[in-house]
Amino acid sequence: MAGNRNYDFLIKLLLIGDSGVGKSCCLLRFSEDSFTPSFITTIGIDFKIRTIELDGKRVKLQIWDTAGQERFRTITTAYYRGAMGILLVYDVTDERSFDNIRTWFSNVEQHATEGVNKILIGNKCDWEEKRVVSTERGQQLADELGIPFMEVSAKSNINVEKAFFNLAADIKKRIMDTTRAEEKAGGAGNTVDPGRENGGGMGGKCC
Amino acid sequence: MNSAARKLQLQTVVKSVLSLRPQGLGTPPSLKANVLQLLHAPSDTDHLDQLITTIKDACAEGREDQLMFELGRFSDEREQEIERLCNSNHQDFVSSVNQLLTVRKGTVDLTEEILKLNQSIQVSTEKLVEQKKALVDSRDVRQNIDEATQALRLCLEVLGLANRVGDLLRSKKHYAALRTLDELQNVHLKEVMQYDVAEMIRKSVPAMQGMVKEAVMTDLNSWLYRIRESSVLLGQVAFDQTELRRRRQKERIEKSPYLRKFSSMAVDSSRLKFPDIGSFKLNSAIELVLDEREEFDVLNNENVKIDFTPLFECLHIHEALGERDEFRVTYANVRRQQKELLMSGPLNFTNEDISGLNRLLEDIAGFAIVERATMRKTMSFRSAVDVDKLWDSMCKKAINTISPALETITEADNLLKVKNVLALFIQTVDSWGYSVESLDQFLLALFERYSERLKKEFSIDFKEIVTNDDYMPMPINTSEEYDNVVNVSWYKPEREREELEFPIVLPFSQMYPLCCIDIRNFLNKYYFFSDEYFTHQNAIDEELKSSLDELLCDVVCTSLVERLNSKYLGQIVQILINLEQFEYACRELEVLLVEARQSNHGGEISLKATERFRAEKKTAEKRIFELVNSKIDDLVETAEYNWMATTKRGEPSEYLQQMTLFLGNIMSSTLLGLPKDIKGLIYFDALSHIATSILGLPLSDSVKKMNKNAVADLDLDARYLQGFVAGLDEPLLLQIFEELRQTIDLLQSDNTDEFYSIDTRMKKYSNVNPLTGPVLLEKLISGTAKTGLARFR
Repeated sequence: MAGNRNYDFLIKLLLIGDSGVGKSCCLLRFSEDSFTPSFITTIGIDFKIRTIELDGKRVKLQIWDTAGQERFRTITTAYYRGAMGILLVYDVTDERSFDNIRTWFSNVEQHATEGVNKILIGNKCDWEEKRVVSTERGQQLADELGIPFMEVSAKSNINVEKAFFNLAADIKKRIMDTTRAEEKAGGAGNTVDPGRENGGGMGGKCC
Repeated sequence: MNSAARKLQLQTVVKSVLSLRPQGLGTPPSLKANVLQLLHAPSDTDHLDQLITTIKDACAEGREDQLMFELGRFSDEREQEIERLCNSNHQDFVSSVNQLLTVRKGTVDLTEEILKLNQSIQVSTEKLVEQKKALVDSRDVRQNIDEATQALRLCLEVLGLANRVGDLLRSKKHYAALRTLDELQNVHLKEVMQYDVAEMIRKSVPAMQGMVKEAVMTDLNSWLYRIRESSVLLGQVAFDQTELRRRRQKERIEKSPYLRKFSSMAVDSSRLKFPDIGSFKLNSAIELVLDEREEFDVLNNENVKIDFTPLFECLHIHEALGERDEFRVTYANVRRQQKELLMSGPLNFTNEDISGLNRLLEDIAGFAIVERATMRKTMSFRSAVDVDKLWDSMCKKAINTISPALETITEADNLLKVKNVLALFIQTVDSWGYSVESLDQFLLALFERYSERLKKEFSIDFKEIVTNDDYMPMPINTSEEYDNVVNVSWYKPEREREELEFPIVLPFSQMYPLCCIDIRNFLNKYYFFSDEYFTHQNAIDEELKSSLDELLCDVVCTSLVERLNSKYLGQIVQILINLEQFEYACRELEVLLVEARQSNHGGEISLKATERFRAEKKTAEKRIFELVNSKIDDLVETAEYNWMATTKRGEPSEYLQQMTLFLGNIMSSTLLGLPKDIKGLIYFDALSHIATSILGLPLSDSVKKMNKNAVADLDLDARYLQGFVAGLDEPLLLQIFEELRQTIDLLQSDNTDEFYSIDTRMKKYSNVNPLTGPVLLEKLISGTAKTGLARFR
């Protein structure tokens, strides 16, 4: 058996959204509970690890942080496939980043695994005086896309934790459901979907 | 009638009387003869004289009686004769007597008349005498009057002169007044010394001289006051003049190929500003000669007119009074007091406003120029020692006044302004022959302060640049933008400008060109200090070098190194690239500093920062390895090996696929800008770390046993990695997996004994760790015991 494991589940998440909406900041807040005011653009791709506990299980979150800039699109798209959950991030103070969510969403539809969990995140919700996208509009878009929605602030540490936990919990639930269904179906009907296979492998037979 | 007339009358009478008498009767013959002779003598005088002689002789001979007798007889004879005559002539006689009586009466009348006349003459003479006396008297009076008039005239003249002195004084003709006074004293007064008024005037001469002195002193004082008033303006004009001379000198250097040749030795290739070469600077002999044609009198022009006449006059007067030395002392004292007034209050640079300094220095310059001009215009009136002493004390006081005020200045640019004013001041007074040594020293101190401020200001700037940088390769959209950046940065482009197709991305982040601009500004600001005038050039060179080094090391480099703690790989990569750029910049700066050096001595310059940047590149490199390796660790931690797998997996592990994808991606994005050799090192380090980590997985204590399927999975992964490395086209990297390869080969081998035989081990398994090899074999044996038995079966 695998002897190196210090977790029960491995969940891979992906952050996407326009450049400057605060993806890296959200990730920094979640992974290290810190915040940097200076503007640091992610070049290419990066990831961070945080292990959380969900219903008594150790869930290792491997969160991929992508560059929002167009020029890195080919690199970042390659990571859609392995993701089990995708956070679509926009900036409530930036109308364009909100408008572009539809584009990001269609990218997800195009490149990610079918049935991947998604969540719409409106960052910088602490910056009320600059806000241009209302919570209602955010919610409306999320409803339209059929995904959960949450406004967060990496700077003020609002809802960041919750967003990741909710998404992780949804994914865990889905995996468990799928595993159960697979077990019922005798392992048949499995696809080559690496995420699900991987998740299944982990979720099912560990410890 | 006068007395002569009367005398004549009398004589006539006597004559006539005598002539009537008988002569020589009854007397001795001689006597008788004598008497006769006498009486018959033809002239009265003769017979009278003879008579006297006869009488005298008779008396002497005692014959007076005889004479008397003779005479009596003669008289009787005569009388007889007369009587006879008379008898004969009685009628005649009577008529004669009558006539005589008539005559006599007439005579009496005449006498009376004469007496009357005489009386009346007497009377009139008396009057005459009186009048004559009066005349004499009035003559005396007149003489007295004449003398008095003369005296008065002299006195009036003296008084007039004395008055003239007053008039001259009033009309400001002081010297004339003094001359007049002198003339009065030496010429005119002497003539009237006998008069009291002269004494009075004589006594008042010193007082009047005093008045003259006072008058010229009053004039001098008002002159001194005016000088004081116009001293600022004079300073201003002198400053303007110095500035004008600077401009002319620059024009001359531009025009003259000879002068330019020397000046152009400092080529402006680095955009640094080089000041003129020493021998052509202001107040140099060459400059003075070249500027000779330009005639401008600072003391007499349309803005300032300083007329030294009152001073000359005062001096002249005092010289005339023989008080030159006293006046010298007085004047020196007054000037000393005036000097004290120059800097009576403290200088204030509130709100960095240095206009007060301008005023102060103009005032001092004006004062000093007047002093020097006085010295030149008067012969040894102002002693050089005195003036220099005054100057020294002014310098000292000025420095003491300025120094505390400088404390309130916080901006280097304002210190530079202070320097510029001081430089103008120094050059101005230098041209008037004043010693500027202490001021030069002060400039040096000011420079140190300036340098200190610059360092502070720039270190804040640099810190801000470092903090606000995005640590992203700098995107350039247009050729203009490119030129702008490349021109300010020390950067050697890999490709020619013409080959570039915009937009492009430069390797460094924008902090680099920003820092380069700042460094250039920093250098310029140092050299600005020596613009126009600064005698401590080598201080600038030294200070600039050490300050720049300090800034580069302690601020730029240290700030960058601090940022290496960042967890953003991209940022660290950018820092490394920036460090490399800075190292290049340092080398360029080393050359530039030598070129820009103001003083002529010294060889190469080497900055500590160069080595520092180079060394910190290694730190950044290590940090990149560290971060990449930690990512590898993170990924390896998600490895899923079933060490007792029932089947072979058939495809490489997902974590490895992800790892190669990630490595490839960061190489082509995050690490793209790194120099090729470093990229190679990163690959080497990362892949070695992967190999070690993978090998570590089955070695873990938690893995007690494994089977051939698991080994086959490992083999597949190792091949996958080897394939990936082969695709990188880096032959050196292939050997990284030798240990892993050989270890897996050993585990897959049917003949494990070969490992235990030294010969074959050296041949086939030389890279297998002799300690871990057996451990893994043990685990495999434990895992395959059943199958092994089955095979045996």
